[in-house]
Amino acid sequence: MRFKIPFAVACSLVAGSAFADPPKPDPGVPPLNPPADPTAPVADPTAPASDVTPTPPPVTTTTTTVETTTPPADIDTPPGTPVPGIAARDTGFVPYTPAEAPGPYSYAWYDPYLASGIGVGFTVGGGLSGFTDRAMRNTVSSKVGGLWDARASFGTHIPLGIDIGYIGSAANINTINGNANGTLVGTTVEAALRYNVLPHNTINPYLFAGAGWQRYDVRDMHFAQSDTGMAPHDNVAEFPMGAGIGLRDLSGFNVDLRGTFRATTDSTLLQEANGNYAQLHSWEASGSVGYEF
Amino acid sequence: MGAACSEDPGATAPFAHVVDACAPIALTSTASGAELASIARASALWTAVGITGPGEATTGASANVAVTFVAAAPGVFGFYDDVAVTLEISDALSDDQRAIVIAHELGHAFGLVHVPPSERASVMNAANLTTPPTAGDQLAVAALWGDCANR
Repeated sequence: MRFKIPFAVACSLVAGSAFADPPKPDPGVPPLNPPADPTAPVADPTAPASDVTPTPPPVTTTTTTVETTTPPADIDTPPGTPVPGIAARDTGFVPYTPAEAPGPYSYAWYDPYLASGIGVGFTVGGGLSGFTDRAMRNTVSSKVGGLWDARASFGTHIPLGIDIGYIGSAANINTINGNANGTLVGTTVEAALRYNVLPHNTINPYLFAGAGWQRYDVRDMHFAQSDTGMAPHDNVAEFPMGAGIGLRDLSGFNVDLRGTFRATTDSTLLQEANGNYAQLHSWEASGSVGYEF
Repeated sequence: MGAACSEDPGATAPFAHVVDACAPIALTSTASGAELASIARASALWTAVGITGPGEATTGASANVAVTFVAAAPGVFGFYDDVAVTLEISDALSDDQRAIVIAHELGHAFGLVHVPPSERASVMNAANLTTPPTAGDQLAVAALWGDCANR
């Protein structure tokens, strides 16, 4: 049976016993500092220095914990038999026990192997996007446009995290006769709650949903000389939702792939001839690389 | 390419070429049927507010303005090509909308720019498909070209 005694208590116990009574070594335990043997040879102070092996001064070792071991009552320990555990008391060495890493399927809210403890990552990337509204699809020159993004993620290694992202996009605008005339530039800033399906696994699928702000600007279009239902700019609220998969290694490098659908509030960016306004709902498929800690 | 274009009379007007709204203008097109009829309706809309140029006979015209009907994006109704002096009109409009859009693009050819709907109703409102030329538009043209009735 083992007891761990705090250092201060151990010291007072040892000191108190040392001053109250002379030490009475346990006959079965080797003394920590055995008394000097009076019969041992004494070094000659006049001897040449080269012949003298320096004797290091006695070292008093202080340990922060003292283990006392009480043999089980049912074990009859003969005198002189070392009691297990006493040797450890002499070394002063406390073995390091590494923090237990969460398993790959764990939902622990802390990862001791990450400096942040939760997983904080930054990624940059790009991908493809498009509008789901037919009028908007027919207004831009290509059904699929390009995008670029930068994202900060807080909590990539715990079940729930937060993503904060910036997404930029650009698409040529077709006006008359299929001629590109102007550029539709999109700017999105959004935040999303992220549910990590396998937060402690090397490959982590995740789901996310959130809200943000989106602005579209029409640039380099000859509005002054055209009659168009397209406004110079528009601001809408948007609600991203989707799924992704994160791949990471122990160095902190990570790759992120995701698909997003963005629902938006009503827009006045593009009015059709029938008087209806086109919706700005869009989709995105993107990839990014980055670092997490 | 249009001929005999006037210089832009407005210091801030954004057009490379404009045409005199009071001088005879030849509106030419290869269109037929309803599209051709909508060109005549647009001319009549301007004439109704005293802008006589588009309604003049094509003989002896001071300027040619071509009108073409083309495929356009859903939100694009018309376009004034100020270099070629051509009105490009979406072929997806109804007859009434087409006449209004031709009148709108003619306004650009005269040198008019868009008028915010909050300022006044105008044929030059952006995305206009319903408002014909108004007395306010006549004044705007007169500010550029003078009163057509007194020239």
